[in-house]
Amino acid sequence: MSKTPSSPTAPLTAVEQKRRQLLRAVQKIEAASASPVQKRMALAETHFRLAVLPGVDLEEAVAHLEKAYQLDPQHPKLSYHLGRLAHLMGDFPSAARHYRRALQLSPDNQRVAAHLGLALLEVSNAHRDIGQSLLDALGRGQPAGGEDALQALDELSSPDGDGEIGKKGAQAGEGPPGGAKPGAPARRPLRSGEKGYAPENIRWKAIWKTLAAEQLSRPAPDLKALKDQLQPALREAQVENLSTLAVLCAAMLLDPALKAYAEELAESPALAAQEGQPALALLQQARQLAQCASPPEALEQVNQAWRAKQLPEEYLAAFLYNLLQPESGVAALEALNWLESVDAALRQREIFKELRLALLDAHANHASNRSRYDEAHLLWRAALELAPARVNLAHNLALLSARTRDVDHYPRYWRMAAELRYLLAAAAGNHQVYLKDRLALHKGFVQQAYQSGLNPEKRAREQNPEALNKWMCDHLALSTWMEEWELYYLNARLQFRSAVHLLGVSRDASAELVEAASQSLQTLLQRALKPRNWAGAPAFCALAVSVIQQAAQQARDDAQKLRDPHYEAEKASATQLTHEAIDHGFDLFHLLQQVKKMSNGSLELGMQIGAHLAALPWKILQPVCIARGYIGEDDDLEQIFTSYLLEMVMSAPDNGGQAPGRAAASTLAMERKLQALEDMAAWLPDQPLLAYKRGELLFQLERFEACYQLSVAALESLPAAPDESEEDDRLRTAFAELIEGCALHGIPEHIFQPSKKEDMEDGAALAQERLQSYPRSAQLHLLAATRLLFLARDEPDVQKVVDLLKAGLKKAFTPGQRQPLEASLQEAQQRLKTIGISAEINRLLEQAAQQVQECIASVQQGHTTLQEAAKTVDNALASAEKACKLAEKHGLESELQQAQGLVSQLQALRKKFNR
Amino acid sequence: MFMIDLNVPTAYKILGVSPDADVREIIRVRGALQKDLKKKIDATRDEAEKKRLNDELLKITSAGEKLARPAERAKYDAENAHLVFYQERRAAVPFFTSKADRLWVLLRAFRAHLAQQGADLPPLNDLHREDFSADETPNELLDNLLR
Repeated sequence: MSKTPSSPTAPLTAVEQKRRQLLRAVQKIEAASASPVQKRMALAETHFRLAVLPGVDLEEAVAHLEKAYQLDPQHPKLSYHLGRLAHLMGDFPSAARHYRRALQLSPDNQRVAAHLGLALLEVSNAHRDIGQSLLDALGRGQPAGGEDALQALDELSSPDGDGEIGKKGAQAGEGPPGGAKPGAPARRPLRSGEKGYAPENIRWKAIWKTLAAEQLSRPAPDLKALKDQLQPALREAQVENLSTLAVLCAAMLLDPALKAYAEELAESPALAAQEGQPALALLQQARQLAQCASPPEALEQVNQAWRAKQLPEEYLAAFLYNLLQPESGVAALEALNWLESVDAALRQREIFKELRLALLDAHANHASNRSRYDEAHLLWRAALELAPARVNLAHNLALLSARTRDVDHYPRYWRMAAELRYLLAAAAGNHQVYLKDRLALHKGFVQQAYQSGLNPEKRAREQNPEALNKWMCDHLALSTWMEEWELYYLNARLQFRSAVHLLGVSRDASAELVEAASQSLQTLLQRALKPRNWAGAPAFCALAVSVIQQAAQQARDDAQKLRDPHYEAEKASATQLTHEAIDHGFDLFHLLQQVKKMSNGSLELGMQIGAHLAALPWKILQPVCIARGYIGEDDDLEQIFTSYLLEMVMSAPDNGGQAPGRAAASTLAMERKLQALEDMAAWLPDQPLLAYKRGELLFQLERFEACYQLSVAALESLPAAPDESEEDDRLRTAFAELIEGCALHGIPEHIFQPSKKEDMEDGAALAQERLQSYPRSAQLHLLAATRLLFLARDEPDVQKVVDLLKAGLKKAFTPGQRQPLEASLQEAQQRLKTIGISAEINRLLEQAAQQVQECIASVQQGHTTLQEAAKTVDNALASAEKACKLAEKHGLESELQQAQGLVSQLQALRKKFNR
Repeated sequence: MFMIDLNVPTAYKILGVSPDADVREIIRVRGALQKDLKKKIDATRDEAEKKRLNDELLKITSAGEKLARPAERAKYDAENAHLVFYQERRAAVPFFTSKADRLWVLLRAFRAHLAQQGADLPPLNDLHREDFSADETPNELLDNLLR
């Protein structure tokens, strides 16, 4: 926000007063009685004045200028100041666009043209040449040269040229200076008849300062062009020009090529006449410093200037850097020793810490360029101690270790060079920080690992098979190629500013596909970065995840997708990256096929390649593959790859290894397969067929509990019955069979075919015990239920069986499991209904039998007469007949038979007594 | 860890120019190399040597074609970004390595230094300027309201 007074009671500054007045004016204009045009113009001017207030916050200024621009887009000053603000904010392409627009509205404005030239210097190498041409033309008073430069800029910016300002040049990054486009101007485009210097054409009199400063900024300034700018200013001898001249002279004294001219200028009468002016005093101090003949003398002068505050510390640091850098003939150690003689207080200043680092770096570079690698190594390491997070130091050390094949330091420095680029992006909270570096770093490894054994001009699937097999045996090259490619791809996706391109989906992608893309990118992120164990990797992951999720949110919003300003500009690169990913994936698949063909094909190698293959976002790539005719519309690449991998695992030889016995060898082979499938499951988590194959192997290896758990989990994750496909149905049955197989393993034969009551009791106990470990087994429920029903004596016993069967039904997964349980439940429920009648029948029969037994004993002892006995038998017979009727009525066959038998016996007894 | 080979042949190495060389430099070097090789080819009578020199000429011509055309070069650079990446870098802050940065910082330091002594250093251009009152356009409605 704009600067405000420090306290409410403090007097308002003039700027703040003006700001408040202008803000009030905005409201008043809206309410004023004026024409709409007058109001619009007045509002535009008000916002403009608010935007250019001294000390205004840049973002607030931009907001005001944008409002003003909307109200009055034809006023060149609005475009110009928008450009100026973008320039100050470091957005040079935008600055150049705004300046160019301003210049179109006001073609002869040299002030605008000069700032356009300055902005172009920063955009790209191609734009830099145009910017310099434009500035040169302005400085020499040649409007035609300026027109040439602008024409070249417009051609470079046109749709059939390199695109918008900064787009192509910035993307190519390091385009050739002056040669980015045929027809771009030479450094000084002169038309015939327009030679030399035409100061009369220079209308913006202050331009000389900009042009002189720009010359001084060039690596090799053009002394004549510089003189063309400075001499007239010197001649005019205005005080404000002279102070500028003095400081520019001081700056020139630091450049050996300009030192003599700077001295000449300093001696000029115009400047000499300014004696006593602070700017001139500063120049005199700079001259004294520059005239020192030896380092000790210069250092003494530096200390003196520092203590007397005659020169800014930045100037002293720049001077010392020039004095002690290798090009001055000073050795590294000597330079560092000289630096120690600088005042201790000065050495503590931040800029002097940077100076020490700059000298170490300069001497290290110098040593490295002269193949003095040990010295370079020592110096860069010393610098790294001063600035452990300086990427370029780690970078230089990494390159040095590669150049010297220094195996001891190589891993550490390359790790550091990569790690810092992620760490600093995470620390900045901006994934774009060092992104281009990360891309280049990973792509470098990808290409080099590939080229280490293969023809770089051909894809893997086009290589000579023998060369390919040989290369695949180089585990380091292969794994580097695959791992670094994932990091490259990840960063390449993250570089897009368009949400759909970042995710790799088309603009009309469904919400489901967007989610799939987001998930696969996040999985790849974790997969690629987690094993690196870099400091900053978790923070970078979190940052990237938030970027991906934000992109997914935007990609789901149709309005935002249509407004996406980067979509068209990034489309070609995004398409290229998608094709790269497909090509890479097909290469991986080809490698997998090669591994399978190898006589000594390693399952582990296959799985390693498979893991990288599976990590690619095939759901997103699939439609492109169909469009390119690689696969049919009904093909599912994920399924094709999974099936291939499964087949590869399951068809691996069973007699591998060097186990002593065949059985042991087979177990070992199964263990290897199982491990391979476990690995696959880690990167293909939702594949039921894969889970089934694992279950089969677990069963064969007699790991029943693990097999049971896996089968239950797989059955729980299979789609619900309404959507069930035939394949799912088959899998469901197969998993259920695994569950039952695990639950019933090792149960003795007599339990299944009981021959006595004890077998029934054992069966019931064992089944109930196993249900603790295998609660989803229908067969165990059935076994326990049938045995318990047999043993049931009363209603609670049968009820327990009914409950058990109901619980079993609830837990069953398939109709095949449910059917026998349902049949058994029906039987138990029937039993429950009649068990009361049976009990009554039994009671009647027992009662009758007991009465008769007691009666017979009493008759035998002579206590009862036969007449009395016959009466008792009649009573017993009545009970038995009642039981008979009950059994008949309820269809209880065995009870009926029992009752009928007793009735017959009692009838015979009664006849006996009657006789 | 896989070791990078910094000596892999590249179009830049074939011509013997730096990856950040400008197009004029590339065209100049290519021309000089071609001229030199053509001379050698004309001079030699050894067929094997002639063939070797012709192959070399072909390589140089091909590399030069690739790098002298901006679009081709941009594509080559994008596909081989590591070629530029595999160059040592200056690790010091730009103040010590870039003249433009140094001048910008020095001018700011000079301005502050002179201000401490009560003297002004006029802005070099609008990027250094704070006072833009001269850019204000008279507007009757607004100016009346401000009065």
